[in-house]
Amino acid sequence: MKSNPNDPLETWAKQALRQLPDRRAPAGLGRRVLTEIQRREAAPWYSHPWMEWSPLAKLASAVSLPALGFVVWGTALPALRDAIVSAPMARNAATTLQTASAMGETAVSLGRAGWITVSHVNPSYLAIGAAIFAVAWFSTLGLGTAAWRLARNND
Amino acid sequence: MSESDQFEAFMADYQDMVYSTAFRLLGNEAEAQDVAQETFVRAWKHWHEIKDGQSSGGWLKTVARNLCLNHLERYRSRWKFFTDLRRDEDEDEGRELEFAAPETLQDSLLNADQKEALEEAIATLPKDQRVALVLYHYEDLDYADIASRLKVSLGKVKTDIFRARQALLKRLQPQAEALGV
Repeated sequence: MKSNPNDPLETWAKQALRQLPDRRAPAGLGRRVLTEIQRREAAPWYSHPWMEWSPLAKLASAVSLPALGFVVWGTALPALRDAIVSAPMARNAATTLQTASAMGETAVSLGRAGWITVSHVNPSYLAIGAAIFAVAWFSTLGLGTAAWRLARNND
Repeated sequence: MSESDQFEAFMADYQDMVYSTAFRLLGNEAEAQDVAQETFVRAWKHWHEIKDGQSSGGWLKTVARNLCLNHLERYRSRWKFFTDLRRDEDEDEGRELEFAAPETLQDSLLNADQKEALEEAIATLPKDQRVALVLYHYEDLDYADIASRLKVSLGKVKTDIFRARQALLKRLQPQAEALGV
């Protein structure tokens, strides 16, 4: 789907735009590029993107990072947890966590009750209910879209 | 001649082309300079691959174009979805707009004033129209490629290019008529 020679506007645009010469680059562009190249080459190797590291550095990082993760997981995290639990504000946090936990259990119970109810309803009634819900949902969406377009057209 | 000297000569040869590509796509001098700089920094990284190649100009143009498109993508408005909806509604209207037949301008050479006016008109086009027009006429991408690169519909690309051409013609027509072209 390239140029259409029967379109006079396209033909005109093609001819006109091809006549434009390149814009002259700013005088300092070359100097600016060289300065940037020197700056990047002077930067330490670890500040370069990982893909530009030497193979040895890549291998070392690939091995050492998981090891570091295990060390943190096994030693630092338990120590950190003990320190937090002993802090005064940890009591408030514990209360909040208990409340959240109770709310979660309630939600799970409600979900189970809903599932038991739904599983005992005739599937055809469920299908009808889903269809009504879908119609209501899309009607609302359609009304909202129409209202939005009307509002935009009245701007 | 050292590698560095060769690279400087290479930059001198191609910097106008790279800068023009970036400026026409981005419509902003500072951003175009940034993209041109990054293009040449990358060229230096791949210097051993491209210095003897015949297609180094094409390589630079492609890198500059991709950097521009990435830049535009990064700063695309989060409300693009709504503006696209709005424009899609208007898509069919574009074809109904008519300007005087451009035959009078065909096969004619633009004078310096007209070229300047055309450059200015391109730079002041709405971003969507400018990018689509430049990709089509300067980068030789077809409609489908442009739609794919810009992640917009084919209809929007066609409409944007059509409107951009109309805007350029409208901008140039008074001058052309005054000159009796």
